[in-house]
Amino acid sequence: MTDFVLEYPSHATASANDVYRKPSIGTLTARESMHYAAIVASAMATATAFSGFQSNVQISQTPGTIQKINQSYLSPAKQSVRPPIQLTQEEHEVFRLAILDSAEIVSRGRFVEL
Amino acid sequence: MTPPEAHEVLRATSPLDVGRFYGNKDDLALGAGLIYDRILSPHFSTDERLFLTVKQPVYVITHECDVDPANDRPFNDYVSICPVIPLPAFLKRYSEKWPDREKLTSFLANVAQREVGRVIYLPPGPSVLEHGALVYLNAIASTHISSFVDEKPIAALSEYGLRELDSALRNTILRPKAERLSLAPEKY
Repeated sequence: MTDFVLEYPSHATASANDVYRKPSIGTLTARESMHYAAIVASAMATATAFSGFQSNVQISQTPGTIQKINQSYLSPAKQSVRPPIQLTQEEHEVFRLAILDSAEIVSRGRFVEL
Repeated sequence: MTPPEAHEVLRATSPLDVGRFYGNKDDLALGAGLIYDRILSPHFSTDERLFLTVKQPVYVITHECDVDPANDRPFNDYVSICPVIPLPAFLKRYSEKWPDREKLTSFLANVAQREVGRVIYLPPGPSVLEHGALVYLNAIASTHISSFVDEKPIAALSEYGLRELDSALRNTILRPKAERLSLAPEKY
């Protein structure tokens, strides 16, 4: 039985051609199988705990799948999408000035070089 | 545009359930969705190219477990914060720069609908939040935990409010990178 060790190439050898290769079931050792089983079990436990207080989520009995989420419960925020409108430089300046207007200046300092 | 008029624009276009946004702040620990009005913190002055030390309204981002005094561990004495801009202060500066009422109305509506990156609308609440406020995520900073000694929170987000703010925060900071990074899965 071999140990399940993730190996990462060093920065010196990593390049854009380095890709993650997903292991196939056929190549798993017994120890690797146990490792993945533990991950699945953990995910199921999390999903079960989550469903305890989140009645709008229906958890499938199949590990790793959530069948349905009530859309009305989800935040209207655009999830994982860059908002379509980005502030201009002038608008950022307006925000900076508005922050100063709502603050009391205590003292002026200098950069700390880290 | 007066703050009540601006609030009307924001209220009419925001999908937020305003009545559920804030909750009881009593007995909540630092980091549990709290907003303060005068916290000592840094602010960079572009004119002077110096950091100013200011007292300003802030939302505390740090998780309460990470600054719990009961946890005696290194590195739990700094707190991540984000400036909170009361709506009147923003209106004043924006109107000075662009007196165009329609432009301001359009901007506020877009902010309320979460179409504008790095700005989050906070509905009206107590104290400096009277007319609502804007959280400006571009100016996330850090301050020492001692800045909170003797300061009382002015408001606390409810579970609903925290989820709304967290989702915007997550989307700003943690959304997937646009560029394909080394070692990314093949069909990423």
